[in-house]
Amino acid sequence: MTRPLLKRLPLERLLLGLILLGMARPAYGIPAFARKYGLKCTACHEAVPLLNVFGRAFRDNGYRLNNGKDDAISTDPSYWPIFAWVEENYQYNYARSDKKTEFNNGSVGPGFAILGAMGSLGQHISFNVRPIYAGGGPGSSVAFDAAWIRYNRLFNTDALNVRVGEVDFDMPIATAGERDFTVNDFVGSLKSLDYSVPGSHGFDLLANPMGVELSGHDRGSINRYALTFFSNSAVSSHQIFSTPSVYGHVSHIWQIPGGFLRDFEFGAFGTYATVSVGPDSAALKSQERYGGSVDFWLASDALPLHIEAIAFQGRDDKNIIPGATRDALFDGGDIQIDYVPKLPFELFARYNLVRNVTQAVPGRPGSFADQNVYLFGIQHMESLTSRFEWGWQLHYSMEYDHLNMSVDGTNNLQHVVWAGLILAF
Amino acid sequence: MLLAVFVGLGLTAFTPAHEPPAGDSGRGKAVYERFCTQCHGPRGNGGGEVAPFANPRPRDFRQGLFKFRSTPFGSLPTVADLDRTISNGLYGTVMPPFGAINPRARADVIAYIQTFSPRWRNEQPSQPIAVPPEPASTRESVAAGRTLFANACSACHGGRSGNGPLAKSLVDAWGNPDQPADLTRRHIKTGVEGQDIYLRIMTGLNGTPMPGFSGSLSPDKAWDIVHYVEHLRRHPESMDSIVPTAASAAPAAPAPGDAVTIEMVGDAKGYRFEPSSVTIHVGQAVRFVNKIGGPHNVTFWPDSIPGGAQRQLQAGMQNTSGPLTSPLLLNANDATTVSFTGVAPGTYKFYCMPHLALGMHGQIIVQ
Repeated sequence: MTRPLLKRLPLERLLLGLILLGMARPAYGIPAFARKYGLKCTACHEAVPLLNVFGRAFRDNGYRLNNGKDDAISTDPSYWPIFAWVEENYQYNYARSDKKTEFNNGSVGPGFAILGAMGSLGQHISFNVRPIYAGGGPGSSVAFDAAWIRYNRLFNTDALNVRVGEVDFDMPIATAGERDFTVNDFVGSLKSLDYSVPGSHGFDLLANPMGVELSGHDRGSINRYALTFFSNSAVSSHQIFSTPSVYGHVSHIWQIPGGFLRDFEFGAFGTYATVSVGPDSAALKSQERYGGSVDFWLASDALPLHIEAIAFQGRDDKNIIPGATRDALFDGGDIQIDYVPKLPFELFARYNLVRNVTQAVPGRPGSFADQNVYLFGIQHMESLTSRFEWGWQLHYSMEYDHLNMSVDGTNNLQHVVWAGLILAF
Repeated sequence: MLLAVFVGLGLTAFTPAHEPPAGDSGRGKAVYERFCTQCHGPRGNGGGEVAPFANPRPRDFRQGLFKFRSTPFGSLPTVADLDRTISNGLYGTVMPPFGAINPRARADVIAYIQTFSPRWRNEQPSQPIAVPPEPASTRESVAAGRTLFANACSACHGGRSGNGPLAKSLVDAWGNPDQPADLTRRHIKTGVEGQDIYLRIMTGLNGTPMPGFSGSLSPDKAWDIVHYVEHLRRHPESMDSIVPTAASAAPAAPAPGDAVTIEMVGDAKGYRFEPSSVTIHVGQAVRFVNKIGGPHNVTFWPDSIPGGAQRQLQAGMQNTSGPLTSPLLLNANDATTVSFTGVAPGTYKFYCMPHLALGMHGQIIVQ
């Protein structure tokens, strides 16, 4: 019988941690844009790094304001389209498995550092290159968090833009990278969106695959769509386009002229991803995710109470799950509340869940690998000038895995207290 | 398919509501702090962190002077005017388009901006200038517009980049150099449509030397100029053959009669009215003469005028470009006369709009 994950050797844990770190999607705002356009970070972010509607419209325009000042260097002669983001944290972990303490310690880091270049070159070309240095010591790694180039306004219309490279999926609201600092707290992160059926090929909606994205929007991004053609398992260059996959997202926002409810958004997203299986990897089998999202912005646009809910269903083909006799079906979702009582503070809470509907492998209990993740936190992110901002975040997360994902069938409960310091230049 | 769904949702262009919802200045303060302070400063004085890099400088809200309006020269803008500027931004400036944020948030921040100037408590915006349907742009209308442009506009906007003979001497009401717009470029700050240009011609730009021509140009003639400006974008070389006449659109001054003369002066000693204070009797007139350092104008502060005299004073002014606002006097010895017939005795304070920030103001005591 396989040992529980947390009982494994420290070296294995370290290696697992480093692998996860390599996949980590750090959160950030881009102070370079504040320098370029002379706007506060809070103009684009409800609370850094969560984008507001203005920030999302800016992103949809290819990081351009369309005010005739979108050249690489225009407003501030000292501006250069490079930004840096450094984060370090302390994390305390406590885990129990079937009433036995598995893990109970705290440690500093590992954090990450990004020196990125992101912006626009006039009206039609936008770019984003974000190498990330994650962790420290012998396990540190350098990888591209994102690297793409985008042609804006194909045929001179906002309805068609083309992005090529290592692109992030246009998820409801934003990707984890623009969403929160919890991505290097593996308990508190957005687990439902990268949930992997036990034994199945991992498919991560929060990853940045190689691909081509077509996207479009109207003025103010009231209506928007994105369609991404990508390679699901593009782990090396020769496999690009060997597993053709597609992801799509549409959304519409209603701006309410009166009352407590300010804005309301509805979105739908889905993906049909393929995985190559068989002795010669010639057969393509599917992993599908289809769902919807709703967002409510209440009370105030400047100090909003933002509630978002995502619900989706996932299906993994039985041929990519060892021992499976039928396709795996599961439901996933999250509900998150962000509240800005007073700038630059933000309070947030999130609940993630995964419920397995159909177990692919016979004999597994129906609730095998179900998950519940809770998160509560507070954040302070302040711009001292348009050239420098700093912040801190403190959050607590708890994950309950019903019948652990490793096949020994134990229940796991993990608690994490995370405190991080962020500097952005 | 997704694209089809998207198209089905409707690629509607963003259009601000004609009359935005009523704003709440309390909520607007939070919106202002989030989006506006970096440029306009926490006190609304245009002195935010970005101001040194911004050209033109961010608006100082304390004077209640707003460039882009549908109302006559000198008037406050309507809420819809401000909403349009906030939503669409000002092309070529650091003012971005904030159309993505909720209309109520824009209304709230407008209400807060209105707290920076006492003008909003004492005045109402004038009736907006209607934009009549655009007539067809014909060769004749372009030619007529060219002639009008040469006479009324080329002194400032002449040349390929908005550098007519007067361009370098122009300053705004805050004392900043004010380069006239380069009309050979596709965009003006407020848009690309003919009606945008029409409104700028007719309403002028408060706080700048650009006067409003609603009192001196018929709609047909204004459209002729619009058609010529649109022609300029396609054929900027046509500007080269224009010899700026530096003639003002302001009418010739009438015979002064027994008018008292006040000279408008800008020289090495500063900008001023000479004398800055005169005493006259009811029924007399005051003749303002642009002596040097123009363009100058004269605008009366409505709240300095004896109660009920505003209408009589307005009637006594020639070819006003806005409420209690004279036309801009571009050339040396251009003049405008203000009659004080039928007005109430009292003190009438006035200023020169382009040079208010430089202390150019005065008073007339009517006995």
